[in-house]
Amino acid sequence: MRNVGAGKKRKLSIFMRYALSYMLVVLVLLSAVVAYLYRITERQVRDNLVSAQINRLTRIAIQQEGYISAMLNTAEEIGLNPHIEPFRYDEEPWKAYDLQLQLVPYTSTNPFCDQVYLHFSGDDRMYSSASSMTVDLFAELMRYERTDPEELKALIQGTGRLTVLPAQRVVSNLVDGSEPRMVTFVLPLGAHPGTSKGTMLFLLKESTYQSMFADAIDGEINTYIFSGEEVLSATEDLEISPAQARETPENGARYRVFQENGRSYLAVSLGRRSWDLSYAAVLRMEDVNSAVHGSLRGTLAVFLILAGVGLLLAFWMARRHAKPIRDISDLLAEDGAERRDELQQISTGIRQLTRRNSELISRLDSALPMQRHDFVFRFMKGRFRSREEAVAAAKAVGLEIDREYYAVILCGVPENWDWPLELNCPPFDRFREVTGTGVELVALKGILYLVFSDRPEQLPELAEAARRAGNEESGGCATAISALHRDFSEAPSAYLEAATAYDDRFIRGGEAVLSYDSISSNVAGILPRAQKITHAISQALAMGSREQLDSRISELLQFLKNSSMSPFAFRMIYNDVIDTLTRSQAAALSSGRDAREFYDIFSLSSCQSIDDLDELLRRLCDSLLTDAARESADAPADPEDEMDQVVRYMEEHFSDPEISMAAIAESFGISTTRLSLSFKEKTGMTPLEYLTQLRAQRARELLVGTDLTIREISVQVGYYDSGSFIRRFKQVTGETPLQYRRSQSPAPAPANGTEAPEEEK
Amino acid sequence: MSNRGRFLCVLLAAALLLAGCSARNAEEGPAGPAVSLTALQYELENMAVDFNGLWFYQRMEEQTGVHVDFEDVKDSEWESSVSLAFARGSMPDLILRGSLDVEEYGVSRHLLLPLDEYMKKGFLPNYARRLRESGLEDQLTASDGHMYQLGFLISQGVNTNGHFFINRKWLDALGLPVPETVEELTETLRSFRNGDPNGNGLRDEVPMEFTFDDNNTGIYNLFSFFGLPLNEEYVYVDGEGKVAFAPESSAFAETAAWLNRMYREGLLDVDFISQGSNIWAAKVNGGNTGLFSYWRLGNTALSPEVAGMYQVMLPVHAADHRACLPRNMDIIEFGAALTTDCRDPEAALRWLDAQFETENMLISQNGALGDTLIRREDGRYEVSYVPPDNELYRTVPVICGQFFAPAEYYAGVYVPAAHRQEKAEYCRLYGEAGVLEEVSSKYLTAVAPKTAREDSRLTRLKAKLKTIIDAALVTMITQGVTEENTAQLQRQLEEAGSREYRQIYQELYDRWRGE
Repeated sequence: MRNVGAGKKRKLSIFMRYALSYMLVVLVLLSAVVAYLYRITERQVRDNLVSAQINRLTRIAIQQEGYISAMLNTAEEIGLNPHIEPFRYDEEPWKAYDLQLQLVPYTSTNPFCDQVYLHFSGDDRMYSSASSMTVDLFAELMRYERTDPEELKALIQGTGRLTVLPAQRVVSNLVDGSEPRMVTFVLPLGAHPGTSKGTMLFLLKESTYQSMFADAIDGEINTYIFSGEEVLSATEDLEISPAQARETPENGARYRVFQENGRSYLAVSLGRRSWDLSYAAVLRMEDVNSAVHGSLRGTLAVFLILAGVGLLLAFWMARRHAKPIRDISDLLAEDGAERRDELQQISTGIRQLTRRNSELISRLDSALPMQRHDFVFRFMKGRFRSREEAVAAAKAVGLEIDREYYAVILCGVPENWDWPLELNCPPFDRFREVTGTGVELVALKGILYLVFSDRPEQLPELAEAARRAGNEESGGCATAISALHRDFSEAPSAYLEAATAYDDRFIRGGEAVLSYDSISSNVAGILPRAQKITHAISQALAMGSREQLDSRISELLQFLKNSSMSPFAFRMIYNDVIDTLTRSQAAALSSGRDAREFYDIFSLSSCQSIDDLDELLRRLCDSLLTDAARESADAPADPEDEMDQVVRYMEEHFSDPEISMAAIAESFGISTTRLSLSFKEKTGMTPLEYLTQLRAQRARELLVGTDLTIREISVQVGYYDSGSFIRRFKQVTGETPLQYRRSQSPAPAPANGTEAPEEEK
Repeated sequence: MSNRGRFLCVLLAAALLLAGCSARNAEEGPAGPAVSLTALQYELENMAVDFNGLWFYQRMEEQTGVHVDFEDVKDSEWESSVSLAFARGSMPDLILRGSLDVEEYGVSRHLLLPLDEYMKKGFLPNYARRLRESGLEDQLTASDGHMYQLGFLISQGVNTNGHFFINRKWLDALGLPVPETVEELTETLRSFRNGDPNGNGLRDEVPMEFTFDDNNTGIYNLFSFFGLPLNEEYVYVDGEGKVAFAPESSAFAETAAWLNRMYREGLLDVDFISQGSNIWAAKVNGGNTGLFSYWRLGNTALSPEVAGMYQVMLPVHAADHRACLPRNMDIIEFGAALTTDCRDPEAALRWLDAQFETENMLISQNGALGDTLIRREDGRYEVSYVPPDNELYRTVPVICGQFFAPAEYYAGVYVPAAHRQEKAEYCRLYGEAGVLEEVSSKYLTAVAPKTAREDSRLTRLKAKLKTIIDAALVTMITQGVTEENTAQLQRQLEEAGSREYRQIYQELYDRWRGE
């Protein structure tokens, strides 16, 4: 509904704008065409009318001139007739009888003439084929309306020049009918006017001319035949002055338009022709325009049809063109926002998108190291189900890892030294074909580099470069490298290899890169025995026999204790056992899910003693047995047991920043609702509260037990940003991490007290 | 036949029975005429008459029960239409007015019904009685003795074409009597010429104003002064019953000689040779003429004022001659004929005879009774009003209808207009004065039947002879009569076939008289 009180005029929709624009274009184009057609048609119709009148006048002229020619021929023939010789009636009256007989055929050859008279020079008589009379009597009997008898006599007795008496009323008993109008031609008798024998009079009734004019078109029209300045004959339907019709059009035109008595007329002239005769026709411009409009009606009908089709087409095109814009506008519209002009909406939407994109890019840029950190951990934990998934995830954080080989490098980091995590800066920037990134391992006080390359030789070279750089900085920086791997699923193994090799630093120091391949041969003597026991554990695990498993684990631990092996060998065997168990059990699970995803490889590899290993192995085997049992039972899991697993899972993964209710529920194949309810029923708190508790607990440990910064601790406990960490930590503990550290730390707080950590601002 | 077929047959039979009953009822009913005929109807060239819609013929249909469908034919197409009607074999029942060659279609080809036989049986009672009383049966009897046509006759007793009229005002002015002899007339004319009877002091009087070659205003009537009844056919019947050729008469040259004298003395208007009747009328209407001849004075081209100056004059007698003017007579025109294809001759004759009933006949000529025609207390009919512009043709056929009124009968039932009475008076005067030829030349030229060949031959001969006669007359009158030109005239006439011309007339006259 139109908001009248809004005061601001609502803009038209994009469809209406298109429709109006197209319709306007169609109408303008068609109007231009119609205007052009009108001009053409008007000119053509007028030309046709003029041509018709010209043809008509020409026809009249030809007929009129034919009459005159016939009369001239008659006069010439009579003049040349040897039987017709001039005589004087008073001297030779008997010749009048012969003359009349001779005149009979000439009269019949001019049927258009009402009367034909002959007069000989020097005689006083007028002769026709039926009568004769004196010139005086003729002049007396033929009472012309505008010609004086004396003038008539003078014409008859004159030199015989062609003279025309225009149509006028003639009252005479010599003329049939009641007072007819006659046109009189006086012609010389003979071939040459100078040698004429007399004169001839031809009287034509004006009805002869009226029959000439009778072919006029419908409507009122005046037609004139002028003899010099006088109207010889005319038919007049319009009340205008003949002088207007007589006026010749200028510049050789065939017609002219004039005004008289406030009305417009079209005068068509044929111009002067033989014997000083001219012809003209006058039409009313209203009739001309009426003819034009009549011709245009058809054109207008076509125009209307075209306009209708054009408008429909414009409507259709507007709709077609407006639709995508409207769709874009709808896409960009904010939910619940008032619907506004589409273009303005698009403009606003694009501005918002641009701004959000900028924000997103900014956030992505700031979170990239975190994300890469997360990627490396997920990669190392074997979280990716396929190579493609890992490649895609790496690409998302700006890493191209789709290389033939990869390795894990662990570097001991000198204190207070800003060791580069990225490979695009010295000392790694010269290895352009190597991709990868580094993450800081707080527990190891070192950095883990995950590196990829198609050239296998470059990876050890890169490790060597790191070692040298570390040595140059501190003089004793251990660097270890795993074996080279191709399969991404072997990432946890690669880490264990690197960690194993790194553990050898205590013996070999930082003089050379600690390579797993090179050191593994040192324990060749004890490894088969260990592998045999490990195999037995795997078999017990496969059999699901807890007793055998305990027995095998005890056997392994006994072997390790009795072997008096070096820490490195212990580590080697220990890592191999972990790797074998998780790998073999994963293959045994029908779900296809890698069992290792349930375990944090970093936690598994963190045992420091035989007892730690004993506990770790028994817990791992118990977990693996539980998975197998759940798999084989093919029955809904017991919610309580399931929640135990969730609790355990959360305890193992709380440091993962991507852990969430949805991720946990998805991992366990249950809904988030069920997870939340069952979890709360089991633990008395929601999964999120429990997760926060776990993270807070771990954070307390790190705050008190390490010198890690708040930012570092927040990452360690699974927060992307320190702000969230601080906020959550305060919710759980009632104080900020820094306050907690200060409260738990025996050392006094900084004297100035103003150097509040950045995270707390 | 199937049941369905039988049912259809019964239905058809019932329908036919009903149709038959309906037709019989129609015949017995009063609606519609009993007889319907077709007619080829003559129509004047300049007249558009809707004969099928004329009130008069509706009246006839009501009176006779005969309906006639007219096919109107203009004058110019009449001959060809009649020929075509007879040639194509689908003749109309009736042929009405115009002209018809009864010798060809009746006598020779037997395509017309002999009406005399029907009259003998009592048909056409009105017409037959009037014809019998008029004594004009001869004119309508064909060469085989039968009458194939009904006549059309409006007899007003006109026995003379042109009467002489002398200027009584001038006579009175000069104290002269009406001349009775050629010499007296000559002197009178001289007096007119010299006596300034119009009193204007000028010798502008024209003693004699004539045209040339006819018996109305032309000089032909002047030959009667010398006993020669010169007419436009140049033949007449002499006292012995012989056909004479006028130019061969001595009176012809005598008259020409007298006229030459008149011409030379300026007593005859020199324009008589070539002036037409309109110029003649214009001159006479100038009131400056002493003597002329004309049909009558009233209701003519002459103005009443001028007409009032003149009085009728009997033709004068030349010495040793008795004046003799051509005698006019009533000529019966073609009225109607029945073709042999006529489907109901008795009904056709009943329809025709009804039109000869006196009141019907006068109505057909003059319009409805009480409108333009009235009946006087003495029982005679009289025209009360003549509508302009031929309005009568919208209701009655006028002269295109049937009319047969011999003079005596006509005078007994109809009171003619004043100008017709005037003419009748002149005719009576001339008749009683004995200045008309005994046997009208009309018997030769109009009554005696001619064969087609005779007619054609006479037409050609007359054209040649007339040229010679008129040229000779002009010469004689303007240049004088000599023995040479008289002899030359006779020679030229003989060479042109004057003998054969006269002989043909003699033969057809003898043939007519003998039968």
